[in-house]
Amino acid sequence: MIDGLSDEQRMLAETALDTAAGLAADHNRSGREVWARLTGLGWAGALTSNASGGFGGTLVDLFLLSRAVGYHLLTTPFLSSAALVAPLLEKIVPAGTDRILRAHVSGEAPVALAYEETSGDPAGAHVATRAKIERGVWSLAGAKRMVLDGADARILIVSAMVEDPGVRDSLRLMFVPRTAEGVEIQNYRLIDGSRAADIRFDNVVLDESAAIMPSSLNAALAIDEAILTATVSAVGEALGSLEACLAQSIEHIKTRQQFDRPLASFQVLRHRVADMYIAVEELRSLGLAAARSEDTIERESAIRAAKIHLGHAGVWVAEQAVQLHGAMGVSEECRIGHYLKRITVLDRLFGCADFHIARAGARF
Amino acid sequence: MHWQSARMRGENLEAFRAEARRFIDANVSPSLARRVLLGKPASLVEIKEWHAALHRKGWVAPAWPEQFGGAGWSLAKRWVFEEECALAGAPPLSVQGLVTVGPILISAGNEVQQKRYLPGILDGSAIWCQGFSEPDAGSDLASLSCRATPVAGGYRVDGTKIWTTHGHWADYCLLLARTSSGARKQEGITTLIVDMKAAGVTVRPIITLDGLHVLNQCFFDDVFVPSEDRIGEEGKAWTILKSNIGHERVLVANPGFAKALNRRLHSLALHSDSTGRRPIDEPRIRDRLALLDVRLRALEATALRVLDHPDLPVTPEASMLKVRGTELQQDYTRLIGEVLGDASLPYDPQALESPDEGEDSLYDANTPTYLFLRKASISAGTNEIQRDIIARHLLGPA
Repeated sequence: MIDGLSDEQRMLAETALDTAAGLAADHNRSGREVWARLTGLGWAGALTSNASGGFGGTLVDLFLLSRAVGYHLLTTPFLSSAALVAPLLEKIVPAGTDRILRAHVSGEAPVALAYEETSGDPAGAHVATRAKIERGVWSLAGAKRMVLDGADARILIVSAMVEDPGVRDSLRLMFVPRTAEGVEIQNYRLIDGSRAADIRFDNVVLDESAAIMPSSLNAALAIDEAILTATVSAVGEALGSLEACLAQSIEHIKTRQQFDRPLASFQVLRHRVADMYIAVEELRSLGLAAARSEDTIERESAIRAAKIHLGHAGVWVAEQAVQLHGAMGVSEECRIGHYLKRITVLDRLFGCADFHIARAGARF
Repeated sequence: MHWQSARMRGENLEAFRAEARRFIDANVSPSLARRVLLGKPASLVEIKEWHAALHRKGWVAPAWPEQFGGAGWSLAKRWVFEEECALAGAPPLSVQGLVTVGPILISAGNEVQQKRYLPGILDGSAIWCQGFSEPDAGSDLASLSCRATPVAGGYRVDGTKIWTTHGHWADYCLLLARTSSGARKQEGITTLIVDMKAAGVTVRPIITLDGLHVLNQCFFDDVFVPSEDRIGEEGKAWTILKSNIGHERVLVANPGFAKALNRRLHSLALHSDSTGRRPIDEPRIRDRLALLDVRLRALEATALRVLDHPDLPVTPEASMLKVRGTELQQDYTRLIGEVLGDASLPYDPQALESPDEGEDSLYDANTPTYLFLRKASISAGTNEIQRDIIARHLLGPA
């Protein structure tokens, strides 16, 4: 396969797939144990420095690890931990408190990012959560939703509009310990078994050090950047899941016989699989291009393009994989439908295709 | 908005439509209706209650001839009623008995069988499942291998059936089993009624992607079926089945259900969030709603054209309606999920089945519905097979 990777990257990809395969095959291992193994290997720090316990990798490395997670459908906090939070944390953690970053990367004390307030605003651009400072003490009030892996976090990074008398409103990122009084967490699972939470902040009192990143422009950009990185990871995971869908669909139609011949001998199904192949390869190309892109503006366009393709062609591939398996594909006991569940989640997080199409088109 | 066929206008069905709506409102609780319209499953108790209400009214079997307890309605009247039920949130009935078994007993069963089994289907006291598909016989149903070996007084049945809707609730199974091998696979298949409580019958639940238990696998291990429970002649099941698949296919298009989905979609699209934005303000969403509307109009207008000619064979039309009807359901549920965005993702099987309606519930039923409906392009003849049927009609055999 012309995978567009360097030898080193290919080795990382293969090792990652092997690691994920081993973890997926061991049904005795719980989700927590799987994640413990991955954090032990430094996966939560794929993008962060060696000093933090990570391996200082590139977005392509993140993409390849994500692909392995998606191929083997590992349900872990990888997306939120490695992609959404870790690099953001490294950028903003005040000097001298990098123990927070190390503890996050090791999995010992995970951090979660709480930025979204309504499902119609997946970029978290409109923030009603407010932070007020009075005599050196912060008070935080508001609510966030869809905080990925929020219930397990020790610390929450929360975006809030700051009310500072004499200064115009600005967006800040606040460090909120999960155990602070007034923090109410409603924990739930998503359709694919992954975890998220809605979190209310009911006049949560924080000390002066809780506010980080004094400039509101940086906070908004930092969140945008975190979401873009998470989107690269989501596309990588989707690629892995769709590769698995395609491989299993091929195997199925070669084996399954009806009307005294293999399903693979029916031209309409041959063409279907060919179209699935094309869609997967396009996602591979778009995903890698997005991960490789160095120019900031171009990278955003490239990531949007990949996310749009995930929502259209990617969802289609996962649906067709179910279709090719017949009624078996709709049963929970057959693995093929599980990929559709994960793809559905990856499509609807960080903005569906339509959200990105509008923004992509606005640039013309 | 209701489009009418010439036949409907001739029958003056608007008064009936209003009567139907009143009846449904009086017999389906608002709470149940809200749940059904959100895509949540009704309980067996609720389904049976609705069935009983329809039975008391004489409306439970609209397609059956009146002499057999049916309402003897025209196709157009049935069409209107199905639509009103879907729009009002009436729970879908367990239809195997009413739609498949009853008509087969009426057309091919003997009087003893009709007297014995039809009342239970009508009053809802007996639930039926269809033992058709097997693990190795899906689209190629004629290749089924479940055997019925003649013995003294009847048959001994051995084999397995799968994807059996309501097998776990069923009192009886309409079973297709092979009694002999003929020159063609279709010959030698016999229709039997199997008592699901008979010795040797086991039912294994199959959970679908929505986390719900609707489907099953049934095992028949040396099950005795008396000869009185054979419907029609031995080896003639295929002919019996073929003769019963007629205009039923028109109703499978089910635009009522698509309209109910369309209503929900529009309601969501017009809803302002806390920032004052509405999904319909996005041109992409608005355009997609307009395009789905075109497809819904095409589906309904096509079905109504067919309704106007109940005596013509409808081979390609029935397949076309099945294809377009199922694709529309799938595309509506997908778009509803996309409009909901990440609000469509939280999932809890207990919340799904709970009678607490909670429209503000964290757990929307749309994604489980979307996942279950991936089956619509597979069941009742895959959409690929339906296209084969259309192609054969147009082009002759390949």
